[in-house]
Amino acid sequence: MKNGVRIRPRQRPQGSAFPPDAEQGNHVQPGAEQGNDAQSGGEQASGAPAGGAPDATPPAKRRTRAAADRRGQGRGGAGTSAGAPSAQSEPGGAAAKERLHRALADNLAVLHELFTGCSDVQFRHLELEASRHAALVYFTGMVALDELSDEALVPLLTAFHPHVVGDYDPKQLAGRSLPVARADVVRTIDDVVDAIVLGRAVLFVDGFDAAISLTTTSPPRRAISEPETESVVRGPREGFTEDITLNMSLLRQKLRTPKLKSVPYYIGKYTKTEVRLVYIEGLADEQVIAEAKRRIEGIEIDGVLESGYLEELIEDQPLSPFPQFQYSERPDTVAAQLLEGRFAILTNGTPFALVAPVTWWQFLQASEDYYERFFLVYLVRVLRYVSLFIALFLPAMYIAVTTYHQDMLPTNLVISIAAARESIPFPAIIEALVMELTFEALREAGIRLPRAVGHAVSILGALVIGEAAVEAGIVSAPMVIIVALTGIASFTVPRYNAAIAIRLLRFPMMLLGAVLGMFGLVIGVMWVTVHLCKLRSFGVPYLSGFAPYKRKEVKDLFVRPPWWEMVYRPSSYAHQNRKRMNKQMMPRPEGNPQ
Amino acid sequence: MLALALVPFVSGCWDRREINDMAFVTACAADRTEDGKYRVTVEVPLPGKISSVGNLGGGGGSSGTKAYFIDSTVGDTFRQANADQQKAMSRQLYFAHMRVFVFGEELARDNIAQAIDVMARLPQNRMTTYLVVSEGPGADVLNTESSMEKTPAEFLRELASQFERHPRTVKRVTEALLAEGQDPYMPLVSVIETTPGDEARRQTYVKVTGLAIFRGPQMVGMLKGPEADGVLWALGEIKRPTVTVPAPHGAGHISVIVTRYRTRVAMHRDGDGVSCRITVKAMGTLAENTSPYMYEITKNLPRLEHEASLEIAGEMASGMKALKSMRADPVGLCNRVYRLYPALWHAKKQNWRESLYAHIPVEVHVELDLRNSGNATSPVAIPEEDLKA
Repeated sequence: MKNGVRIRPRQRPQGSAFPPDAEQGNHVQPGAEQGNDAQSGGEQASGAPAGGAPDATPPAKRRTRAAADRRGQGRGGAGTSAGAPSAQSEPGGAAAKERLHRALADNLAVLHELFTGCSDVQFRHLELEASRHAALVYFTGMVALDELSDEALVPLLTAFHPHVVGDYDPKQLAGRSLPVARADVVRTIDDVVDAIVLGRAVLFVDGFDAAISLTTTSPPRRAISEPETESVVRGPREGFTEDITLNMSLLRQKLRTPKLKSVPYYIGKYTKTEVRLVYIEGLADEQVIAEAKRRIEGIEIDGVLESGYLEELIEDQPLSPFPQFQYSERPDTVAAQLLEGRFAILTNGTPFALVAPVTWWQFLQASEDYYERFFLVYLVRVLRYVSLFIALFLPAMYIAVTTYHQDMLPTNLVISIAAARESIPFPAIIEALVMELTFEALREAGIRLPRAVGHAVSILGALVIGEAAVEAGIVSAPMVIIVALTGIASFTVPRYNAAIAIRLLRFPMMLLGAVLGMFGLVIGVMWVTVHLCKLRSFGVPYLSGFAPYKRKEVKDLFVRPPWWEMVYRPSSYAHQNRKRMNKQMMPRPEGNPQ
Repeated sequence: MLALALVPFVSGCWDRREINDMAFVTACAADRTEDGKYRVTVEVPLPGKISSVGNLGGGGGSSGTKAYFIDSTVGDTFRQANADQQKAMSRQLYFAHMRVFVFGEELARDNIAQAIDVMARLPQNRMTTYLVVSEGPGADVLNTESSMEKTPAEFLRELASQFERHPRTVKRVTEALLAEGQDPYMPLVSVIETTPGDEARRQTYVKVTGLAIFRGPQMVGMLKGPEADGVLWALGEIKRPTVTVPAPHGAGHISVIVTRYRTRVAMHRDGDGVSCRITVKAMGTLAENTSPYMYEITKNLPRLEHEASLEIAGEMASGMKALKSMRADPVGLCNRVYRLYPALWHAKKQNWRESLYAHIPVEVHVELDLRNSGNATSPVAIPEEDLKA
């Protein structure tokens, strides 16, 4: 970033070549130590009945985080300003890592300078006792005001014991007098700024060399609604929202165990987007988790507005058309993936969670596959593979057969195709490209247009593409059928990012078919196959289960076995604790005829 | 890299031909001209005429009333004739869809071996093309009206494929030509006219009238009627045969459809020579009974079975006799000798038709088993008291 050169995370040798201060600059951990404690404790209390231990995060990890923090602080003023490109010219950058002053006025002066021009910043002055001044600093709209007044202002202004305040240190003050669910002690200007921009209220008290950041509930966001991109007939109707806290709680409600770990990151110089790496300890491969952490920590970017930013920054093979992350806005899908030993990355501000490591087969599985009776799924999965083949190859095959291998068709078919093409002025490849591109354009228009206009587009599409083009003799009727079939087939791929990969690859396939016939198609197939075999997602081969072949996993690739047959988690992801149920769970009620 | 990237653009589309720039030859006929050349007739369906789909696209390029185009050219070889033909074609001749090949009578009598060469040599020609021999010039067969199918080629193809259990293809005929002690045969087709009662409305169409029997690559005769049927019985190739015999008692006839049958040809060594026994085991259904007798579950049934069996056996005997008189062996009796008694075959190989084939006695045995009498158990329209058991 600094040099304008993007370094791919996977090429970075364990981050050692990377200046630690620069790393520190971007994912800031406001009050790292206490923050982690309080946060995980809070989640425990809200989610898990088993709760108890507030230290959900393993101590070792916390120590390293805290150590990293201290290391960053130890470098003094070099911290953020060194990591930040000078062009971003943060006001008062040099003083940012400074510790807080004891005098309230000094602290406020620094903050006033930093937040110049921010009309929505609030400096609320309080007078706690004679000559003891205090101030609350926060952004309006990012804190819950009624909560703030009930839990901070009221206790501070009414119940405060005047003669003890002098003896309190900030931690005691937070512990004894502030009934806010989460209060952290912050000691540097930098952390204070971070706390404020993350939507916390920061309390300064004159005479303290530390401030207390108070976390209130985040401002209301969209309510939980049914996920639109992954609708099901049978299955939960709730979907993730844009609020990461809510999303996390949705996951917690599915997986009520302290083993569900979440590691927070704040990514983006300006957006400070909260990102959480979520996994189940004991199921996920530790090496994979370590690698994921390393990659996420390596990200340096000005902003993250959607999980797609992260996906492209941490995937294994950035130049592949195939997706190396699955995304989902369904908590049940993500929970199921976590249970198979994968990890998820939640990003604040988007309902889409990333899931990795993935294999190609996963993109052909819908969550409903596991809810509906397996006989049907058996059929549906086979259907999906057939559709996949059609979506990728049918137009290319049609072109190849009609321009090179006319002998491969039955005589009557060849004659009726010839009849249909009689008055078509273009070669088959041009015809196919025109039709496919029109179809893609229609699809694109259908997505982007406001709903009211959508009808007009569909009428135009049906009329222009279906009827008029054939009537006018620009494209032949068989080509319309081919394009329609291809379109339908491509919609049967349940994961949109896999469907677009197929959609994209169709065009090179068509060109190959037009240039080299079936021979070209075979080259295309080989190219795609080799690429897929080479592809890895966090070290897991993309075709894992089939290549490398795993006898016990193949059953869940092409068909779906009944639940009582899936005793073990797929070994592609989970290397430990693989048994997920007892054997012989196939129901055999007594007295039933076998 | 650059060179690799250029490959598709430089070499690509080499063989590209659009489907509507090709003339799909669906049937071909070959005749011998008087000066010893080949006259090759090709039939090309006109897609714009054949399919109603083409009319949607603003009308096809073809005109005229017929849905196909027929022309013939003369050349020293088939390819030369075809090349000459190509000069008069706006579309490229394409032979991979040629399903039927007709040998004219003259050519068949002359020699088919040279004509078959082109079939195996060019990959566009398929070994699965059906072969037939026409009575008279082959070109006439392609030029019939055949209003039942869209083109005469389609009509011929269906005829050829329905005529036998294993229709004669280039592959089968070539195999028979090359096998020791065996001769090829093909279906014989003739152009006939419909008999609608009105002279003006007569149409020509094609009928399979029998078998063209070859001795080596030369046709030596045509078998028709019961003789042809008999040979097909012996070959085990006849399809859903119907046998009609006079009723054993009284007036009327009885037709029997044979639903399943199996033919076995067994050779026996006796003394110096060999003898042959052809056994047919058949299962049949009573199809029609115009006599007043009941043949179902009565003592008449074995009698009927016997009569019908004799009828089949008679056909076979006459067919085999005709073959023997032509010294042609499509059934492959001598091929069996070659396989079973190689020493005998090698001793007589030189002049096998005369010294071996002509002296093989053929015994025919047919067992017909009537299993079913159709939907009726007794003659339907005759009152019960008039029925005779």
